[in-house]
Amino acid sequence: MTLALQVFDTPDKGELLADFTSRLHPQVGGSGLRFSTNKHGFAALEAPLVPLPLSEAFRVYDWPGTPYVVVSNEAGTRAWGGRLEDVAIVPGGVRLGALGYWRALLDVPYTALWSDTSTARWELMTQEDQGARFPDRYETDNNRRLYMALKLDETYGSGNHICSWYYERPHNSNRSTALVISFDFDVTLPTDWLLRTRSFDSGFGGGTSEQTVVTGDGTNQTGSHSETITSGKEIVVIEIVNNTGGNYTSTADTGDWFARITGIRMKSKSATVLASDIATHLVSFINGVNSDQLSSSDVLIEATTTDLEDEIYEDQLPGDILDRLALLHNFEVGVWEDRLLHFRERDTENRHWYVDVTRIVNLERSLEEIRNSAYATYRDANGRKLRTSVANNTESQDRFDLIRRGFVNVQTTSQTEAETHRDAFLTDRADFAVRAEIEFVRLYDQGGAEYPLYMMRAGDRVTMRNLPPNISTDIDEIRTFLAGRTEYDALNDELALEPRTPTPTLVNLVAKRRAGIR
Amino acid sequence: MPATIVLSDDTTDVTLTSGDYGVTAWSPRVPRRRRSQLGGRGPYGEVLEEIQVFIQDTTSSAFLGNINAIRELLDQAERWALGENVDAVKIKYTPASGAQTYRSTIVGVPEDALVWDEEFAKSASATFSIDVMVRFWRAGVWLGAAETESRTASTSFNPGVMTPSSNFSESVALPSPYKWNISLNTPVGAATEGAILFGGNSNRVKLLEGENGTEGTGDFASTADTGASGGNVGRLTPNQTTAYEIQWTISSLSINVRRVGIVINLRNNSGSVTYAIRAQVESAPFGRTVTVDASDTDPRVVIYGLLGTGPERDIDLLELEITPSAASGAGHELDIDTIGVVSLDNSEGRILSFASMGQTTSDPTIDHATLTEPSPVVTDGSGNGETYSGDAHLVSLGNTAAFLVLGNSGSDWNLVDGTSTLLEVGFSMTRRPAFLVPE
Repeated sequence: MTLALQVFDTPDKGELLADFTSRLHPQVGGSGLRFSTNKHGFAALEAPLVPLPLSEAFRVYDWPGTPYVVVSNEAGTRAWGGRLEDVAIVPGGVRLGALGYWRALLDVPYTALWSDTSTARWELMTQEDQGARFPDRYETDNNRRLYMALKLDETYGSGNHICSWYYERPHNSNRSTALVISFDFDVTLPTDWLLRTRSFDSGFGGGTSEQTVVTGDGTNQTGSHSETITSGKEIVVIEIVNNTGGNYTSTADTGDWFARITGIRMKSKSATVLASDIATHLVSFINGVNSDQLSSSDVLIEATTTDLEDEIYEDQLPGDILDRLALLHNFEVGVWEDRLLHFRERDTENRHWYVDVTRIVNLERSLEEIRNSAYATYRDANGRKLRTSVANNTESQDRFDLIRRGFVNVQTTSQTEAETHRDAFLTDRADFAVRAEIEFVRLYDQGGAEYPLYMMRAGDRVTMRNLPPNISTDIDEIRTFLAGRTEYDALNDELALEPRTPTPTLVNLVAKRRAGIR
Repeated sequence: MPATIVLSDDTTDVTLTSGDYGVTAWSPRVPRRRRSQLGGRGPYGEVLEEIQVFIQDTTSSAFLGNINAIRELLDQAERWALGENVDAVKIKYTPASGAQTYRSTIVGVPEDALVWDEEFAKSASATFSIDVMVRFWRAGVWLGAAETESRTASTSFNPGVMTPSSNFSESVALPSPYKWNISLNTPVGAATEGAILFGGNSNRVKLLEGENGTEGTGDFASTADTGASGGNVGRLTPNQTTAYEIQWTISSLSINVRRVGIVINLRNNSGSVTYAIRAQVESAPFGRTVTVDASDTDPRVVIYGLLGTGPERDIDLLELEITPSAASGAGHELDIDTIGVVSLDNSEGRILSFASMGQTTSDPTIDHATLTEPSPVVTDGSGNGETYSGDAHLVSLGNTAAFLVLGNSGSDWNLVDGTSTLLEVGFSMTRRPAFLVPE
């Protein structure tokens, strides 16, 4: 087994800058090599001391660009790969620190509208924005709808005194495809009053008529509307206007003539908004800014099917965006070889390893976090605090012969939603969180072939095959687990690994609801 | 003849066993096998050598000069290890039999490199003398005399498994470092990348022809391609998106092979269809998945990596499970020209990958450089550094070796010159047998 540490000028390996392999040994002054993996792929690498004369150390310190660091094995493949981020001149040489190419997703913030169903971002146009807009002559609100109603005794000129709600794409977005708007309407407007859409450039220049949605006829009209806005427009407007040809004075009570827009959705694509589309665009975006840091290929991005209703990003890091999308879909996201971003169903590409435990350093459980009985608190429409009924995990209660009850606060007026949160809280807390530190020396695959320890990666499945069978349910729960993080010490040929703690159901649940996924 | 021990940088010698020096006590340390997985310096660790040396002279200045001569060489060794532009310092030991001289490079010096417990003695005959313990770290193994074997270049090795024309005179039991270089009859016409597989003998390095694979659906078939090895490739036409299972027979791979490395010379003819590849040998579990994207329709060498063989180590079957991303049919095929298989379960087995190989007629040159440099040196024929990855400290066992070069030249399957004429490929290797204890 032979690991080699090389540094190249670019990820395409145009030029070998250094082969530090032989300098890492302690007998020549080196301090070995450690590298780690986590859920995002290759994580970190550290060579604490590479002995070099000072002149050489400065040359390394001065390397241009962001060199590519590779640890190769005897089979010619990557045990680790990433970019050199930290170089320190230390007594005796240099200290090198590298991080995996997941870092490329944390380099550049991203701003884009993909889909937005909130009415909170809609605003009323004023005369300062565009002439002929007089919102004060209307009763309006955007509380989960866009509402415009004529006021009693107000006079509205033809083509004047317009009430307009507008939505503006985030400024300097990194995605500028044509906007697509859809909504339901419920209008009762005087004859020849119009409910229509318009669009503008950023700054309200370039006003463009889009579509007339409804022509008022004095009766109630309902329906749905969807259209693609003119390409290049940043502002979309929904408005009502007097199109009678003359002044109109409202003699009906305020609110009798109205337009109510609900179910509104603003998108930047006509079809469904998928997490895989967002991932693909983020890859293109990052590669467009830093072409060396992330491959432009989307070959490892699996298609999702869930339509995402509320995905709007302002100055967010792509890595954070993808982490959340992965959580929503029970996907995994990261970067391994070839700087390829993967976004795929969780645990479909992992390997299964078998180990023989040589020593159990620590195996511990605690009652502290256990809650096997729970309720949720929420509020009614008047703000009065309410409590759901108590739910119980009888298996846990029988096992411990003890009832430990907790509660969770839920920001909702819906009893159903509160109960859902209660149940998720109970699922999370009914069993022990086992903490374990276990040693082993060899790694085998299912066929019994022995592999180097560094072959194990975060996300791989590990079975400890020599534990006593079924001594306790705790043992069963740790006999096979997923590796959350691995750290390999090449000098001592030792692997430390942390089990992956399961994503709490409650975190998953909350993330899904906020994204509008049902 | 008495045994001799010399500290030398090949220019300045300090013979510890003659003249004003005498070795009063020495037992060469025996190195241990490294536990570390780090390469670059061979499989045996360094040892702290301690030699009791009697030093004398008739004047104080000459006497101190004799001590200083040793310390200067040790200091030079330390500076060499740090990468300064000085020559390496070796300890050279020739046993009384005079059979050969054993060399080991001094790679470091402890804080107390020269230790003496007494004051300088001055005898009645006015001779200054002292017993000094000389201490230094040296490379664990002793290296014997170099021997070179080679294979004349031929197109049959492009690609093809090459072995030396003659065996080495000695069959070594210890992994022994060697310098290796490719020989080409003319430089490669276009910059290429590829891989070189290193093994112990022709039963540990195998070349499989892509067109010899067998598969059940009929979507994989031998297809003529004049530039390919053997004039054919194995062509997979993607008519489904479920996995294809393609099998090759590996004849005469050494038994008891525990791990193998796989390299595939392939071409994705599609600009849209990608292929996911998993490999297994016999019925062992599949290895990791490698993705062949649609970014390049030229041949490429894909290093698949490490595969374990499990308890059944008599391996004669390789299977690739290949899954297309789309059933796009003709025009989107995956062609496989050759597959390299190398045993990786001892020190000899290795795969090194190269970029821009073949720019001269004698690159790459992979030199362990144990006796001259702190690190292996990989260069082209003109002394320029090669871009490679892997452990370049190559070692050999037994009395032979085997090599396989897989590389592409632009749109050509193999190494060709500027007129797409197949190159003749050969090699030479210069090996120094390694010893744990000088015999």
